[in-house]
Formats: sequence, C-alpha cells, structure tokens
Amino acid sequence: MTDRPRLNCREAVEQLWAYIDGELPAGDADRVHDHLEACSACSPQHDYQRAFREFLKAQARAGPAVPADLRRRIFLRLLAEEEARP
Amino acid sequence: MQREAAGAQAPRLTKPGFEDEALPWLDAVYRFSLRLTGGNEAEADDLTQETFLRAFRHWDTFQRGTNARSWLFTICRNVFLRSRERQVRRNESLESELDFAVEAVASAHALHELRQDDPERTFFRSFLDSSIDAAIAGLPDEFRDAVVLSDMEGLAYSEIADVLGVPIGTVKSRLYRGRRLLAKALHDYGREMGYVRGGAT
Repeated sequence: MTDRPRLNCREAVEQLWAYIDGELPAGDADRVHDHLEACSACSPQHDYQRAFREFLKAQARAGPAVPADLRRRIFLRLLAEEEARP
Repeated sequence: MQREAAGAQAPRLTKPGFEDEALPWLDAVYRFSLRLTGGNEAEADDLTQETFLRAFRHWDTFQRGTNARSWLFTICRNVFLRSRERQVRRNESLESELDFAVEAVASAHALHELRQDDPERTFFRSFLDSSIDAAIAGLPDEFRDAVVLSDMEGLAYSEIADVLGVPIGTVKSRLYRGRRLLAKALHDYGREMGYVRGGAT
C-alpha cells in the first residue's frame, strides 16, 4: 500500500467510467486502482462495467464492413474527382 | 481514361497520404453512417460516399499525422446533420447542466441493477445483434453519438469532443447518460426475453 490519500466508495464510483475508459491522469487512476484492490463492493462493479464496455466493443467489431460494391464506387468516384481537379 | 480498365494493375490515388491515412477508415465511417441513419443502408451508402468525397476535396486542410478517423467522423456527422437539417439544439437543455460525476454514479447504478439480476453475465451472451442495434438506435441522438464513438469505435474523450463540437465535460455527461439509458433498455429487454431474472431478489 502507498501513502496516497484513500478514496471512499462514492469517489471511486464517480471516477470508475473515466478509469475504465483510460481517461484518468496516472495519479488518479492509481488511487482508483488501490480502492478497487481493497474494496469487495466496488471491485465486482468495476468488472461488470468493464464487461459491459467490452460487450459493446465486440458488437462494433462484429459490425458490417463496407460492402465491396460501395468501396469500389467510392474509389472510382475519387479517381474521377482527381482527374477532374488534378 | 485508361485507369478503370487497367485490369490487374490497380489504379491508385495520387493525392499524398489519402490512401494510407483516410481510406483505412472506410469501414468505420460506414458503420458510423449506419448508426447515424438508424440502419438505413441506402442513406448510409450516400453518407459514406459524400464523406469521402468531401474529405478528398479538402484533404489539404487535414493536418497530416493527426487522427484522420476523428476528422472523417466529424465530416460524416456534419454532412448528416446538414442533410437532415436537424435541430441540434433540441436537446441542449437536457444535458447542458448535467454533472458528469452524478451521471457516472447513476450509470453505474443502472449496471449494478443489471448485475444483481444477472450475476453470471448470461446477458452479455444472449443478445441478438439486432436487439442491441435497436437499443442503440433508440437512444436520443446526442447520447447515441457519444456511446457509439466511445464504446464502439474507441475514440478518446478529446476526440469525441472534436467530432461533436462540445466540451469534454459534455462528452462525459452524454456518454455516461447514454450508457445508463442503454443499460436500462437492454435490461428491460433482457427481462422481457427472460435473459435476466427480473426484479432483484
């Protein structure tokens, strides 16, 4: 354990999304990390929120790619644009 | 013009950097277009084309080496808003005063309820893509855009702020509120379908 000021549960939960999103400055992230290590109430909440985010991310990865025909049309249109306005 | 008929020799765009920095985001822009248009493929097709055409025409204004993805998303959303002549101020009062710390707690609470009902996380394995898409499409536009850009496309808060043209605090409150609404929508659907127990015991 470090001598960083400890967070209470409310403070930790307020910062939990920013922590999961990787948007907290290092010192703040460390404090949230320490709290989660020590708190049996917040730790499962963190795991679940992170799983929710991963779940959404997996949906995006499974999302459709641009149809080959559209890819081709866009490319041809850009080529035509380049030739029209070199 | 010989380029189209060049056969095995694929034609290339000569505008420096466009093929390497912009074109790799074609799938991402198409997905974003689908989200913006509520899954309308014809509209998403037009929107993606128009986005890349504009990006191509204005490529000299793009700062090379910065994030082309956020730049393309910004163009895409602007084209979409203009095409819809949407009242973007419509929901401003809804979220301009929100405190993102309060939203973060409320959002965590919505997921906490879900966790109570579904400790085994069967929820995450049970959904059909179409029901998730419908839940995302059902979010108010501002919240949907934040959730899609963050949770699905992985943009940083500062990048989302650029795309949406709002301060980072607003990004946070929109994102947390969107997540809460989405968790609630999925929770309600999960209960209806029996994926989660329904009513914490």
